Amino acid sequence: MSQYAATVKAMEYPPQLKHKVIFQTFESLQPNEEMLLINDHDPVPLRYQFELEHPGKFTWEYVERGPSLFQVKIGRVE
Amino acid sequence: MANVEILDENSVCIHVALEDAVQMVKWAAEDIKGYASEIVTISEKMPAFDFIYFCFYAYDSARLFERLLGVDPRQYTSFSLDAPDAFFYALYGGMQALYAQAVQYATSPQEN
Repeated sequence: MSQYAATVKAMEYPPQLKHKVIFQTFESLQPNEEMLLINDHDPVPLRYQFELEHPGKFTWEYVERGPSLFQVKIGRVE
Repeated sequence: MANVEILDENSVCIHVALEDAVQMVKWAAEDIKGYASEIVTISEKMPAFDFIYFCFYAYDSARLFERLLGVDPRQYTSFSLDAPDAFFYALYGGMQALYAQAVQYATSPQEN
């Protein structure tokens, strides 16, 4: 059983939907649950958006950091 | 004009330069009313992204950017942007110059 409540493969979505899907998934998490984000480049802008939209309410940990694949464990803090 | 490198059917890499930001500002200045929401969003949000990490798709503010490309990046699921810092700083400065006027349009929908 996966340790993640949800997984988002950002490469499967067109650019205008990527952030929306990721944030909808994050907002559906229960406190202390985690999601896995998989992307083909470092999602640095997304982290800035998280800091802006959910300051102090998320955790961000790289599981894999390139060069061609990036996986980030994003947790919801209560 | 931006250089759009189509890598495969799903992937595109977009290369932009300082002059592309200047072009975006010119288009925005020519139609402040039409681009009011983009001008306001870019002006207000870019600083929170340390400017150079701003994503046009984070807040639906990609119309000026897409006008540069000549292709529709929404057709590609793998999308990367190669841009010098100067591109972002020039864009921010230009949008800030138009901000006050754009806010008036953005907050007065009955005027649109």
